[in-house]
Amino acid sequence: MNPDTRSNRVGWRLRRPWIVGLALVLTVTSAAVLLLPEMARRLAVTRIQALTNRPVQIDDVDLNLFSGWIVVRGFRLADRHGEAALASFDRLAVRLHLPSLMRGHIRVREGVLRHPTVRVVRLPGNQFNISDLVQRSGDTGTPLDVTIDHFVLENGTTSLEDRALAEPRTWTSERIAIEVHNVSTRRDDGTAVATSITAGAPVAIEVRDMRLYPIHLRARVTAEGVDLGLARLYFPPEAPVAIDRGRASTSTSIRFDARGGLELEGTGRLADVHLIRSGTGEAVARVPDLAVRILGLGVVEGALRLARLEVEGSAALDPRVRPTSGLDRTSLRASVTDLTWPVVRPARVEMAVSAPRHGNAVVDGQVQPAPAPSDLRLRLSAFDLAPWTRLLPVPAHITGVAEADLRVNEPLAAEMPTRVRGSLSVRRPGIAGPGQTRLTAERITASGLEVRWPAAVRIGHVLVDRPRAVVERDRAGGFPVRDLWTRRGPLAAGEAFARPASPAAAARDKAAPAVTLEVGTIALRGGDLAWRDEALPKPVRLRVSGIEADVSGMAWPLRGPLAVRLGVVPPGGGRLEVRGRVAADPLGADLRVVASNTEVAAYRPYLPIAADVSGRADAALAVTVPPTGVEGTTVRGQAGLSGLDVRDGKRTVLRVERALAEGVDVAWPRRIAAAVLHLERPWLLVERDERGALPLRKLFTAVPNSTSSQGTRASRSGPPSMPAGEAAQDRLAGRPEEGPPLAGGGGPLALAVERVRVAGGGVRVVDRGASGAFAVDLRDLLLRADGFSTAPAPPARIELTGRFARGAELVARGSIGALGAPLHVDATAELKSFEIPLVNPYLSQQVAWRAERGSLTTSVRARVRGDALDARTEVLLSHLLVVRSGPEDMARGRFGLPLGLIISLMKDQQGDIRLVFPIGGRLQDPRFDVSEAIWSAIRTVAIKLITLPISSIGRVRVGRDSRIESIELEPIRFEPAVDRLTPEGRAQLARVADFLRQTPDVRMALTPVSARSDLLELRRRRATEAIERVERRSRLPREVAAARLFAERFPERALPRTPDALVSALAVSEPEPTAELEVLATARMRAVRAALDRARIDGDRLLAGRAREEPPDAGPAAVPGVELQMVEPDTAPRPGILERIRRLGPTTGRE
Amino acid sequence: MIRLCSLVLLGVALVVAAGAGCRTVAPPDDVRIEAEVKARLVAEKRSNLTRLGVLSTRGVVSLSGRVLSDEERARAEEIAREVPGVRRVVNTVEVRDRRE
Repeated sequence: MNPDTRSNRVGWRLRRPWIVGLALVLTVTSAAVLLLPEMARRLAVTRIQALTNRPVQIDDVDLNLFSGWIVVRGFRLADRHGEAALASFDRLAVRLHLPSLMRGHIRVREGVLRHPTVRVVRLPGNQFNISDLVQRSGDTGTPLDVTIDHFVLENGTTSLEDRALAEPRTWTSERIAIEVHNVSTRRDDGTAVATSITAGAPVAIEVRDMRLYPIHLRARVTAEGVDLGLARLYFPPEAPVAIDRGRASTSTSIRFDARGGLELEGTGRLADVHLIRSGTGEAVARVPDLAVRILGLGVVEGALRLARLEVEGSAALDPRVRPTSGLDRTSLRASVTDLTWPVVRPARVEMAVSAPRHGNAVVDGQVQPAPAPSDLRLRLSAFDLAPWTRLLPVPAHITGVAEADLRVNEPLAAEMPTRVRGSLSVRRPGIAGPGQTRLTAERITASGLEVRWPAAVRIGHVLVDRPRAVVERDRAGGFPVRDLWTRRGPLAAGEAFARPASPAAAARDKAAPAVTLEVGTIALRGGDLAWRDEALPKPVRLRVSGIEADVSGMAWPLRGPLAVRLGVVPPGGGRLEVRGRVAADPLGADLRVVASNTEVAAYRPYLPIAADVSGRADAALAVTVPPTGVEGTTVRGQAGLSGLDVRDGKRTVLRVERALAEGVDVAWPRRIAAAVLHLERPWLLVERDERGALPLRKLFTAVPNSTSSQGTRASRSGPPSMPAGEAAQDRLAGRPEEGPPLAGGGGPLALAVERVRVAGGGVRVVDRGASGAFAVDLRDLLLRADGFSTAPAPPARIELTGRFARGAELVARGSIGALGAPLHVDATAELKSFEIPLVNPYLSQQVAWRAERGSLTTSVRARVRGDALDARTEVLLSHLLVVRSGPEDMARGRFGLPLGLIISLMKDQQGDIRLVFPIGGRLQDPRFDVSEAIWSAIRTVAIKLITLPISSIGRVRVGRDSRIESIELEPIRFEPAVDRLTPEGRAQLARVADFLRQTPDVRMALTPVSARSDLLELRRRRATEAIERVERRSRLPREVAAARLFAERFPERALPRTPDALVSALAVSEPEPTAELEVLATARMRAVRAALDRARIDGDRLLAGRAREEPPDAGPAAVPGVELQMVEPDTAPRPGILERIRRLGPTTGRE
Repeated sequence: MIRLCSLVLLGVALVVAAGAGCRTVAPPDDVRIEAEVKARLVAEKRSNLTRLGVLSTRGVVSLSGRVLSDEERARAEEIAREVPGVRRVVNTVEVRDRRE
């Protein structure tokens, strides 16, 4: 028995008399007592309604003043709006210790509460249906002593109806059971045990050492498998991720004391947590297991202190998010130590995230709220970037292993640290597109990193080690690398991380200030660039290697020019160095470009010609691009090419061993000039094929090579170009000629070279279109040209020398006006000792003759003013011997005589032909033909050359078409019937001898002609001889003898009156003197030959014609003597030495 | 004695030269041969023979210059040999790598 019970009994005995009396009173009042429960019920309803402003319903109240039992049944506290009950219970039975009440001590000996329900509703605006009750409970006044010996709550239910969510949700904690022992405001040994099923998870709370006031307790809260999916509804809508599902368990020890405050230690564990993307519901990550441990969490008088918070577990990106495996075992370890609030000292933070094969991240340091600075260090090691590439809003796939050492020693702002310093490096970074790697590097290191978020990012030095890039142009001329950075259309997986989709987030992004970026220096070492061009008919692969670059002063927004140094090994080898400054806005550059030994063959696909080109280039140029744009760009310095080889397939058609342009001065787009252009040993093949085409022209004709370039050319070309002939006429007439295409569309581009020096040049001319192959080499070509220009300028001076094979020389010099201006030419050219047989293919083709020997020396002095050509040509043909090369003599068509005969007639005593003839005309006249003009001039000169000497021995008949119709030579006259020359015959023979001496190749046919006078004379001679025979035989006088003979032969005729008539009459009867005539012809021929032989005329040049007799009925009487006729020269090979020796023997008859 | 020997040698030389002259190819043929060989070398598409030097002396063709391979060298000789009138080909063409 406790002390209180004993004291009650003692009091009872002392007051017994009074009690009896009082019992009477009680008996009287018992009736009233019977009404007490109802009174109490009404009082309670009234009182609670007043306190809560809510309707209250109590079905029944039982009061047992003796046992102290108070039973309330059917309690229901309605909500303010008359909705469902705020609170209710079926039965509350409490047995009070009534005496204690007298002492102001509410002591519940025993209590049972069955089926209590509490319904809490959260309304929009974060208001609750009990908010008014909570506010009103602040004034508690002085608490009464309360003791609960034993109390049981059975089958309770608590519900939280959340109407603040878009989708209202009700959380229920049911099957609540609470059993309390000895809970009092007077003692601190109370215990309580509570269990419930909250949101499907069992929750147990065990409280000990509990005192109600001042409150003191120790408790352990245990929950198993709480569904975390319920928390999804409470994530902010703009949050990128939310919890889809998961379970949480916790075991927490709590010590709460009214004076000592709250102390909490516990562990928690999250299991199988699935994170999803807000809005789309796509899976993002999974947390298989995460343990949370809280040590030393205390709240004393509003001051919070946390000794240590530890989090450790693992997480994995969802397979649909992560492109590679490995992140399914990402481990997380984090801790916060010495956290206080209000802050009295910095808290230490440490967090480590580790994923096998995907890197580690460690953050540690001390944090404290602004404005005090926090000191944090972030270290990344072996951090694989690949799994995060899906988070980018572009298709580029980024790989690499990052390492970072970053420090923050700044007050922490709301979102980001204001200042981050450190270094960052990425090992084997890569940027790839679909199916192809675009950019890789061995390592990228950024040191001196300083981030002043969100204002500026500064990187002291960026080193890119061995970068490798692939740049491709596709068949359509596009660059797929651009697609890597084109934002994807619909939101891709992971993009929500980078670009919050909510309007608020978008507005925040829009309002964010621009970040300035500044990079001290960027260095590239050992770079390599692959260029792949599919836009050309034949795909191009180029490689630029050995890239070394340094760029300093880079910033965004742009501030000023960049200092650039770039060195590369271009495709094909060599070296290209660029140094200087480059500005982007406005565009400008001041660069020094040095190229050495760079192969140009690699760029062949981009040359708009069909020829293959190779060679090695070198240059030292200063390039200045003004801020006004590309127009006005200047290039100065020198450039050269070595071993330039231009080929048609495998064949070299142009080669220059060394070309060097010094004093290059380009002022784009107005002028391209050079002080000196050296060409060493240039060689050119000028070829005409069997069809008469020039392959060289085809090789250098612009050819389309790509769709894009076609478009470019089309846009530049403007109107269709005029035919070459029209352009030539324009040039001749002095009309301005369209210059090269210009970027700026100004005047024509002027080309100027002060001095051109060509040494050791050569040209091989091959013509397979002629009759037979024509091929000549022009060697040792020297060219000096001064003042070459396409702009108005004094005429350029040109001097050219060269040698053909077998000793022929070419010399030309003169001046030529500016190209593009009206033609202005003053030039002389001389060709010496050119072997004429070299041009036999053309001779055979043009005149059906060929030269057996002979050389050509010619000089031409030409003057051209506009389209007026005035030239004088001197030709010396030495020892020319031509023979027929075909049956048709085309020279006869031009001259009227066989070419061989013409040439023989034109030769002088030395066997040379000298021609001087002018050539003139209007070049612009469509009827003007240079070739025909030359032929016409030659024909005129030739006729004159032939006519003059022949006029001494005959005459030349020339037709209306200026062709020679015939050559008629005066015969060599003889006395009739004798081989005695007449005086005219002697004179003619002398002239013929002179003629033959002057024309040593001319041959003549000598034809003896027997005239009627010869015949008559020979017959008279025979008649005379017959008379003499009669005279001798008959010893008669001559006249008698003659008469007897006449009488014998013509007995019936009358005797002629005169002796001469008698002889003539007898002569008619004489027989034909054939033999005498032959003898006479032979004698005359011999006489002529002898005379010519005496005149030192080679007898071989005199051919014997067939003797001819004058027909009896011929017209005018023929001249007795020897007729002369020109014959073609002897084209038989010259006899060899043996033959000449043999001919030195005794002379035999030549007839 | 010396003068006699000289005269004898001169006579022999004249005789030999005269005899040889009777059998030599005429100079125009050398011109034609050179032109023909050059034209054929230039026309050869499968090799680079355009720059080879050609000299014909009485039908003996000398080839000079550089080519890139033994095959080209042999091809040049083959082309020259096919020209009518060529009695012999003296091939002094050098084979050198392009880099040389």
